[in-house]
Amino acid sequence: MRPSRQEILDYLLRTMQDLTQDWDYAEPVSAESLLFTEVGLESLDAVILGTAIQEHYRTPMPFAELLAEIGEQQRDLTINELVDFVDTHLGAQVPEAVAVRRPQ
Amino acid sequence: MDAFGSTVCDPPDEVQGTSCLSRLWDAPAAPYGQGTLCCRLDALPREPNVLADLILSPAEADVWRSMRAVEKRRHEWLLGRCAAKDAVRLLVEKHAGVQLAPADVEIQPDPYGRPRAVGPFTARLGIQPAISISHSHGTAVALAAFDPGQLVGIDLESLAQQRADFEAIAFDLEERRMLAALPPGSRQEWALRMWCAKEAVAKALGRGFSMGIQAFHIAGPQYGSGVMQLELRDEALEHFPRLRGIPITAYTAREKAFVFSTTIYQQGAVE
Repeated sequence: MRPSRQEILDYLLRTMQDLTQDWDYAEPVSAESLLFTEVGLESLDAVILGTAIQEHYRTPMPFAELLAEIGEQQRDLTINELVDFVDTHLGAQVPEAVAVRRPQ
Repeated sequence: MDAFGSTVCDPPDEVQGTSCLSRLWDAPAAPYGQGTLCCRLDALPREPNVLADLILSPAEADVWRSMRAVEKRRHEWLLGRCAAKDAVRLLVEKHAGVQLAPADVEIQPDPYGRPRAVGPFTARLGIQPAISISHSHGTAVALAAFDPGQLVGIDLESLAQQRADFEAIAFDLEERRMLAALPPGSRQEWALRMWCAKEAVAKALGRGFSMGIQAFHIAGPQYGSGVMQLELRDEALEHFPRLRGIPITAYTAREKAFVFSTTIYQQGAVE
């Protein structure tokens, strides 16, 4: 059965907290947190996260393309946008993502 | 007080002259000779705002004050600036005989995010050092090359963090087969080395992974020397058609809890 958007969000928040739990400066993660500037992910962390999501849902998703896209646009990604991305590739319709620039 | 109402005081001795807050790290620059050096900083040497006051130019200080980012990322940004400024200052002193203060060397991103060292010294001395910055697990490194025609890239990753599997996204089937053939005990280190090599080359070419992670293909890892040959594929070849069929060499190594990769490429080959 396909998970609801809320279930995807809950899973991503748990996964993000696991990923950042041993970081000295980790702050509470919310649906509006920006992955790179606010959660503090590096590019490799984003790849690790993408791999974990694919394995969890047993569904390949174009994470490399997503990372390339946000790199090209030099923007950041909220957890909500990531939820939309996962939801889309699990079969749901989602609103267009909002671009947020990343500090250099 | 000066004429503008600002409080003016003499900077501490450590800001003047050649005093650096970071340390030289020879290993990443070793393959490239005298015109290249690497600086490393393993922790913030001062309280962050004090360090910012000591080393940043006015424009950088504006960025620091207005930066909307988690503390971890702000500290990494500051560490990286500090290491990059020190690398450029040491390089300029070594090759041009001029001592610069940290704030004389302003680190600015170009439109694609690649850092550049700018400031009045570039025009005055007729030089434009190339730089690349990386940080991981509280450590920042910066590689600087005196030759402006060189494209430099460095990436650093920590082995201390427990890395979950990332191979399915980071590597194509051929690369995953290379890793699968390695002894299990060394697989994570070499996966990180391969990742570092891709990221170093992506940084050197100036576009990061915006062309896709698998646009940077590891063609020939040499496990004895750590040297890796990378080929560009897919979208990367659209941006850099002259690099079709031309391997780019990246050096990788492990030092204690870190692995790193560096690459230096002559700019003329990609324009």
